[in-house]
Amino acid sequence: MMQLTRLRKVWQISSAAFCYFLFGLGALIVGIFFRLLSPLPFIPAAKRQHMIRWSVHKGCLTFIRIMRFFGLIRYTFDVDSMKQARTGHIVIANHPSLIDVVLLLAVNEQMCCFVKSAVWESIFTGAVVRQAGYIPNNAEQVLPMAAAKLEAGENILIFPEGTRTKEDSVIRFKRGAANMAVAVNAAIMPIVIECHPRALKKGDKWYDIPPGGPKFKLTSKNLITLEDCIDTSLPRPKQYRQLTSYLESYYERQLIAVSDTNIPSEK
Amino acid sequence: MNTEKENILTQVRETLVELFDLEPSEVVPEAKLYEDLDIDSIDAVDLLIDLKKSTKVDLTPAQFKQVRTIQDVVDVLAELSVKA
Repeated sequence: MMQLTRLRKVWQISSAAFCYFLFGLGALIVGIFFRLLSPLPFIPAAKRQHMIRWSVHKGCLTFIRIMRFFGLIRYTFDVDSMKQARTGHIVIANHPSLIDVVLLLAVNEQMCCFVKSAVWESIFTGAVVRQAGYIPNNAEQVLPMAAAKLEAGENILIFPEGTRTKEDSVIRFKRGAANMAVAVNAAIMPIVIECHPRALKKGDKWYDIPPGGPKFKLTSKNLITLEDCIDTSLPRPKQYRQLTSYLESYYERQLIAVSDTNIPSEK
Repeated sequence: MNTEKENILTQVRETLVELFDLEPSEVVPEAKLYEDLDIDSIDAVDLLIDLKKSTKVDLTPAQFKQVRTIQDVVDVLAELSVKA
Protein backbone atom coordinates (compact mmCIF):
# COMPACT_ATOMS: atom_id res chain seq x y z
CA MET A 1 0.00 0.00 0.00
CA MET A 2 2.79 2.31 1.06
CA GLN A 3 4.64 1.44 -2.12
CA LEU A 4 1.62 2.03 -4.28
CA THR A 5 1.25 5.54 -2.85
CA ARG A 6 4.90 6.22 -3.49
CA LEU A 7 4.66 4.91 -7.03
CA ARG A 8 1.67 7.14 -7.64
CA LYS A 9 3.62 10.11 -6.29
CA VAL A 10 6.57 9.39 -8.60
CA TRP A 11 4.21 9.08 -11.57
CA GLN A 12 2.56 12.36 -10.65
CA ILE A 13 5.84 14.23 -10.28
CA SER A 14 7.21 12.90 -13.57
CA SER A 15 4.05 13.72 -15.47
CA ALA A 16 3.95 17.23 -13.95
CA ALA A 17 7.60 17.75 -14.92
CA PHE A 18 6.81 16.57 -18.44
CA CYS A 19 3.85 18.97 -18.71
CA TYR A 20 5.82 22.00 -17.54
CA PHE A 21 8.65 21.04 -19.86
CA LEU A 22 6.20 20.91 -22.77
CA PHE A 23 4.83 24.29 -21.72
CA GLY A 24 8.28 25.89 -21.81
CA LEU A 25 9.14 24.22 -25.07
CA GLY A 26 5.83 25.23 -26.65
CA ALA A 27 6.28 28.86 -25.61
CA LEU A 28 9.82 28.84 -26.97
CA ILE A 29 8.79 27.37 -30.32
CA VAL A 30 5.90 29.82 -30.80
CA GLY A 31 8.23 32.68 -29.85
CA ILE A 32 10.93 31.62 -32.29
CA PHE A 33 8.47 30.85 -35.06
CA PHE A 34 7.02 34.36 -35.01
CA ARG A 35 10.46 35.93 -34.66
CA LEU A 36 11.44 34.16 -37.86
CA LEU A 37 8.24 35.33 -39.55
CA SER A 38 8.78 38.94 -38.49
CA PRO A 39 10.96 40.05 -41.42
CA LEU A 40 8.14 39.16 -43.79
CA PRO A 41 6.63 42.47 -44.86
CA PHE A 42 3.22 41.25 -45.96
CA ILE A 43 1.85 40.48 -42.49
CA PRO A 44 0.53 43.65 -40.83
CA ALA A 45 1.42 44.13 -37.16
CA ALA A 46 -2.18 43.80 -35.98
CA LYS A 47 -2.60 40.55 -37.90
CA ARG A 48 0.64 39.21 -36.43
CA GLN A 49 -0.43 40.00 -32.89
CA HIS A 50 -3.77 38.35 -33.58
CA MET A 51 -2.00 35.20 -34.82
CA ILE A 52 0.36 35.09 -31.83
CA ARG A 53 -2.45 35.49 -29.31
CA TRP A 54 -4.40 32.79 -31.09
CA SER A 55 -1.36 30.49 -30.80
CA VAL A 56 -0.99 31.32 -27.11
CA HIS A 57 -4.67 30.50 -26.61
CA LYS A 58 -4.41 27.16 -28.42
CA GLY A 59 -1.17 26.38 -26.59
CA CYS A 60 -2.75 27.00 -23.20
CA LEU A 61 -5.78 24.93 -24.15
CA THR A 62 -3.50 22.07 -25.18
CA PHE A 63 -1.49 22.40 -21.97
CA ILE A 64 -4.52 22.11 -19.67
CA ARG A 65 -5.86 19.18 -21.70
CA ILE A 66 -2.56 17.35 -21.27
CA MET A 67 -2.57 18.18 -17.55
CA ARG A 68 -6.07 16.79 -17.31
CA PHE A 69 -5.07 13.69 -19.29
CA PHE A 70 -2.39 12.94 -16.70
CA GLY A 71 -4.86 13.49 -13.85
CA LEU A 72 -3.00 16.54 -12.61
CA ILE A 73 -5.96 18.92 -12.78
CA ARG A 74 -9.70 18.85 -13.40
CA TYR A 75 -11.67 21.80 -14.70
CA THR A 76 -15.03 23.10 -15.78
CA PHE A 77 -15.80 26.41 -17.47
CA ASP A 78 -18.94 28.47 -17.30
CA VAL A 79 -17.88 31.60 -19.13
CA ASP A 80 -20.63 32.43 -21.62
CA SER A 81 -21.21 35.91 -20.17
CA MET A 82 -17.55 36.73 -20.81
CA LYS A 83 -17.65 35.55 -24.40
CA GLN A 84 -20.76 37.60 -25.07
CA ALA A 85 -19.58 40.77 -23.30
CA ARG A 86 -18.78 43.81 -25.43
CA THR A 87 -15.07 44.21 -25.96
CA GLY A 88 -12.75 46.73 -24.37
CA HIS A 89 -13.44 45.33 -20.90
CA ILE A 90 -11.16 44.46 -18.01
CA VAL A 91 -11.20 40.82 -16.99
CA ILE A 92 -10.57 40.47 -13.27
CA ALA A 93 -10.24 37.28 -11.25
CA ASN A 94 -9.23 36.03 -7.85
CA HIS A 95 -5.90 34.26 -7.98
CA PRO A 96 -5.80 30.91 -6.16
CA SER A 97 -3.16 29.12 -8.22
CA LEU A 98 -0.12 29.20 -10.47
CA ILE A 99 -2.10 28.18 -13.55
CA ASP A 100 -5.01 30.66 -13.33
CA VAL A 101 -3.61 32.72 -16.18
CA VAL A 102 -3.26 29.59 -18.33
CA LEU A 103 -6.87 28.63 -17.67
CA LEU A 104 -8.04 32.15 -18.53
CA LEU A 105 -5.99 32.27 -21.73
CA ALA A 106 -7.45 28.88 -22.64
CA VAL A 107 -10.95 30.38 -22.64
CA ASN A 108 -10.02 33.71 -24.26
CA GLU A 109 -8.83 33.69 -27.82
CA GLN A 110 -7.64 37.29 -27.87
CA MET A 111 -6.81 38.73 -24.49
CA CYS A 112 -4.07 41.03 -23.32
CA CYS A 113 -2.43 40.49 -19.95
CA PHE A 114 0.19 41.93 -17.65
CA VAL A 115 3.46 40.09 -17.46
CA LYS A 116 5.82 40.09 -14.51
CA SER A 117 9.51 40.58 -15.19
CA ALA A 118 10.42 36.93 -14.47
CA VAL A 119 8.23 35.88 -17.40
CA TRP A 120 9.16 38.88 -19.59
CA GLU A 121 12.88 38.10 -19.20
CA SER A 122 12.60 34.29 -19.36
CA ILE A 123 14.27 32.61 -22.32
CA PHE A 124 11.26 30.32 -22.72
CA THR A 125 8.42 32.81 -22.49
CA GLY A 126 10.11 36.17 -23.20
CA ALA A 127 9.85 36.13 -26.98
CA VAL A 128 6.21 35.09 -27.12
CA VAL A 129 4.91 37.52 -24.48
CA ARG A 130 6.75 40.45 -26.10
CA GLN A 131 5.41 39.67 -29.57
CA ALA A 132 1.90 39.07 -28.23
CA GLY A 133 1.72 42.73 -27.22
CA TYR A 134 1.31 42.01 -23.52
CA ILE A 135 2.19 44.71 -20.99
CA PRO A 136 5.29 44.37 -18.77
CA ASN A 137 4.00 45.27 -15.30
CA ASN A 138 7.14 47.16 -14.34
CA ALA A 139 6.98 49.55 -17.29
CA GLU A 140 6.94 53.25 -16.48
CA GLN A 141 3.80 53.94 -18.49
CA VAL A 142 1.69 50.90 -17.56
CA LEU A 143 -1.55 52.82 -17.15
CA PRO A 144 -1.43 54.80 -20.44
CA MET A 145 -0.44 51.61 -22.29
CA ALA A 146 -3.34 49.68 -20.82
CA ALA A 147 -5.75 52.56 -21.40
CA ALA A 148 -4.81 52.75 -25.09
CA LYS A 149 -5.39 49.02 -25.53
CA LEU A 150 -8.76 49.14 -23.81
CA GLU A 151 -9.83 52.04 -25.97
CA ALA A 152 -8.77 50.11 -29.04
CA GLY A 153 -11.20 47.38 -27.97
CA GLU A 154 -8.81 44.87 -26.43
CA ASN A 155 -9.77 42.99 -23.28
CA ILE A 156 -7.15 43.05 -20.55
CA LEU A 157 -6.74 40.55 -17.76
CA ILE A 158 -5.60 41.69 -14.34
CA PHE A 159 -5.48 39.90 -11.01
CA PRO A 160 -6.31 42.81 -8.68
CA GLU A 161 -4.69 41.07 -5.72
CA GLY A 162 -1.35 41.48 -7.48
CA THR A 163 -0.24 38.08 -6.20
CA ARG A 164 -1.81 34.72 -5.49
CA THR A 165 -4.62 34.55 -2.93
CA LYS A 166 -3.50 33.32 0.48
CA GLU A 167 -6.88 32.59 2.05
CA ASP A 168 -10.19 32.68 0.22
CA SER A 169 -11.84 34.54 3.07
CA VAL A 170 -9.42 37.49 2.91
CA ILE A 171 -9.45 39.35 -0.39
CA ARG A 172 -7.25 42.46 -0.64
CA PHE A 173 -7.13 44.25 -3.99
CA LYS A 174 -4.57 46.73 -5.19
CA ARG A 175 -5.97 49.72 -7.06
CA GLY A 176 -4.52 48.96 -10.51
CA ALA A 177 -7.72 47.48 -11.94
CA ALA A 178 -9.77 50.43 -10.67
CA ASN A 179 -7.18 52.90 -12.02
CA MET A 180 -7.60 51.41 -15.50
CA ALA A 181 -11.37 51.17 -15.33
CA VAL A 182 -11.79 54.78 -14.21
CA ALA A 183 -9.23 56.10 -16.70
CA VAL A 184 -11.22 54.96 -19.73
CA ASN A 185 -14.60 54.16 -18.17
CA ALA A 186 -14.12 50.49 -19.04
CA ALA A 187 -16.54 47.80 -17.92
CA ILE A 188 -15.33 44.97 -15.69
CA MET A 189 -15.87 41.28 -16.33
CA PRO A 190 -15.49 39.40 -13.04
CA ILE A 191 -14.40 35.77 -13.11
CA VAL A 192 -14.56 33.62 -10.02
CA ILE A 193 -11.95 30.87 -9.92
CA GLU A 194 -12.62 28.00 -7.57
CA CYS A 195 -9.84 25.58 -6.77
CA HIS A 196 -10.59 22.58 -4.54
CA PRO A 197 -8.58 21.46 -2.76
CA ARG A 198 -6.28 24.48 -2.81
CA ALA A 199 -3.06 23.64 -4.68
CA LEU A 200 -0.27 25.48 -6.51
CA LYS A 201 -0.58 28.37 -4.08
CA LYS A 202 2.20 30.88 -3.60
CA GLY A 203 5.01 28.95 -1.94
CA ASP A 204 3.64 25.52 -2.94
CA LYS A 205 5.91 23.35 -5.05
CA TRP A 206 4.78 22.83 -8.62
CA TYR A 207 4.90 19.07 -8.15
CA ASP A 208 2.94 19.06 -4.89
CA ILE A 209 -0.40 18.05 -6.33
CA PRO A 210 -3.27 16.45 -4.38
CA PRO A 211 -4.37 12.98 -5.58
CA GLY A 212 -6.69 13.25 -8.59
CA GLY A 213 -5.62 16.87 -9.06
CA PRO A 214 -7.24 20.08 -7.85
CA LYS A 215 -10.64 20.77 -9.34
CA PHE A 216 -10.92 24.16 -11.02
CA LYS A 217 -14.12 25.91 -11.88
CA LEU A 218 -14.15 29.21 -13.77
CA THR A 219 -17.39 31.17 -13.70
CA SER A 220 -17.91 34.49 -15.43
CA LYS A 221 -20.42 36.84 -13.84
CA ASN A 222 -22.38 39.77 -15.23
CA LEU A 223 -20.43 42.64 -16.70
CA ILE A 224 -20.04 45.47 -14.17
CA THR A 225 -20.20 49.03 -15.45
CA LEU A 226 -18.83 51.86 -13.34
CA GLU A 227 -22.18 53.61 -13.16
CA ASP A 228 -23.57 50.48 -11.46
CA CYS A 229 -21.29 50.65 -8.47
CA ILE A 230 -19.69 54.03 -7.93
CA ASP A 231 -20.42 57.74 -8.19
CA THR A 232 -18.52 58.69 -11.34
CA SER A 233 -18.83 62.42 -10.64
CA LEU A 234 -16.44 62.17 -7.66
CA PRO A 235 -12.75 63.10 -7.97
CA ARG A 236 -10.89 60.20 -9.56
CA PRO A 237 -8.84 59.16 -6.51
CA LYS A 238 -12.12 58.64 -4.63
CA GLN A 239 -13.50 56.60 -7.52
CA TYR A 240 -10.38 54.36 -7.47
CA ARG A 241 -10.89 53.70 -3.79
CA GLN A 242 -14.65 53.18 -3.97
CA LEU A 243 -14.38 50.83 -6.90
CA THR A 244 -11.58 48.84 -5.30
CA SER A 245 -13.50 48.30 -2.10
CA TYR A 246 -16.67 47.51 -4.06
CA LEU A 247 -14.79 44.80 -5.98
CA GLU A 248 -13.18 43.43 -2.82
CA SER A 249 -16.51 42.92 -1.11
CA TYR A 250 -17.98 41.59 -4.36
CA TYR A 251 -15.33 38.84 -4.41
CA GLU A 252 -15.62 38.13 -0.71
CA ARG A 253 -19.34 37.56 -1.20
CA GLN A 254 -18.80 35.38 -4.27
CA LEU A 255 -16.16 33.25 -2.57
CA ILE A 256 -18.22 32.79 0.58
CA ALA A 257 -21.14 31.70 -1.61
CA VAL A 258 -19.07 29.08 -3.46
CA SER A 259 -17.36 27.79 -0.31
CA ASP A 260 -20.83 27.23 1.23
CA THR A 261 -21.86 25.15 -1.75
CA ASN A 262 -18.59 23.22 -1.76
CA ILE A 263 -18.56 22.06 1.85
CA PRO A 264 -21.50 19.63 1.68
CA SER A 265 -20.31 18.00 -1.54
CA GLU A 266 -16.89 17.25 -0.04
CA LYS A 267 -18.33 15.35 2.95
CA MET B 1 7.10 77.01 9.64
CA ASN B 2 6.13 80.54 8.62
CA THR B 3 2.61 81.77 7.99
CA GLU B 4 2.89 81.38 4.26
CA LYS B 5 3.77 77.72 4.60
CA GLU B 6 1.03 77.29 7.19
CA ASN B 7 -1.44 78.61 4.66
CA ILE B 8 -0.15 76.28 1.99
CA LEU B 9 -0.36 73.35 4.40
CA THR B 10 -3.98 74.20 5.14
CA GLN B 11 -4.72 74.25 1.44
CA VAL B 12 -2.89 70.97 0.80
CA ARG B 13 -4.73 69.39 3.71
CA GLU B 14 -8.09 70.45 2.27
CA THR B 15 -7.19 69.03 -1.12
CA LEU B 16 -6.01 65.71 0.30
CA VAL B 17 -9.06 65.27 2.50
CA GLU B 18 -11.27 66.03 -0.47
CA LEU B 19 -9.47 63.72 -2.91
CA PHE B 20 -8.43 60.75 -0.79
CA ASP B 21 -10.99 60.47 2.01
CA LEU B 22 -8.32 61.18 4.63
CA GLU B 23 -8.87 62.61 8.11
CA PRO B 24 -7.50 66.17 8.43
CA SER B 25 -5.49 65.01 11.48
CA GLU B 26 -3.59 62.52 9.30
CA VAL B 27 -2.26 65.22 6.99
CA VAL B 28 0.73 66.40 9.03
CA PRO B 29 4.04 67.67 7.57
CA GLU B 30 5.99 64.50 8.42
CA ALA B 31 3.40 62.11 6.92
CA LYS B 32 4.80 60.13 3.97
CA LEU B 33 2.52 60.20 0.94
CA TYR B 34 2.87 56.55 -0.03
CA GLU B 35 3.63 54.75 3.22
CA ASP B 36 1.38 56.70 5.58
CA LEU B 37 -1.35 58.12 3.37
CA ASP B 38 -1.62 55.40 0.71
CA ILE B 39 -1.20 57.88 -2.15
CA ASP B 40 0.45 56.07 -5.07
CA SER B 41 1.93 57.37 -8.32
CA ILE B 42 -1.43 57.35 -10.12
CA ASP B 43 -3.03 59.31 -7.28
CA ALA B 44 -0.10 61.73 -7.43
CA VAL B 45 -1.03 62.60 -11.02
CA ASP B 46 -4.56 63.51 -9.92
CA LEU B 47 -3.20 65.37 -6.91
CA LEU B 48 -0.89 67.38 -9.13
CA ILE B 49 -3.72 68.43 -11.42
CA ASP B 50 -5.85 69.43 -8.47
CA LEU B 51 -3.10 71.39 -6.70
CA LYS B 52 -2.28 73.17 -9.93
CA LYS B 53 -5.87 74.36 -10.12
CA SER B 54 -6.31 75.29 -6.46
CA THR B 55 -2.95 77.02 -5.95
CA LYS B 56 -2.65 78.46 -9.44
CA VAL B 57 1.02 77.49 -9.35
CA ASP B 58 2.52 76.01 -12.47
CA LEU B 59 3.44 72.56 -11.18
CA THR B 60 5.14 70.01 -13.42
CA PRO B 61 5.47 66.28 -12.80
CA ALA B 62 9.28 66.70 -12.72
CA GLN B 63 9.05 69.03 -9.72
CA PHE B 64 6.90 66.48 -7.96
CA LYS B 65 9.25 63.60 -8.57
CA GLN B 66 11.35 63.98 -5.43
CA VAL B 67 8.36 64.60 -3.18
CA ARG B 68 8.00 62.06 -0.35
CA THR B 69 6.26 63.82 2.54
CA ILE B 70 3.62 66.49 3.03
CA GLN B 71 6.45 68.84 4.07
CA ASP B 72 8.05 68.28 0.64
CA VAL B 73 4.76 69.18 -1.08
CA VAL B 74 4.48 72.37 0.96
CA ASP B 75 8.12 73.30 0.23
CA VAL B 76 7.74 72.81 -3.52
CA LEU B 77 4.58 74.92 -3.59
CA ALA B 78 6.13 77.63 -1.41
CA GLU B 79 9.18 77.85 -3.61
CA LEU B 80 7.11 78.08 -6.78
CA SER B 81 4.74 80.70 -5.42
CA VAL B 82 7.72 82.88 -4.49
CA LYS B 83 8.96 82.65 -8.06
CA ALA B 84 5.55 83.37 -9.49
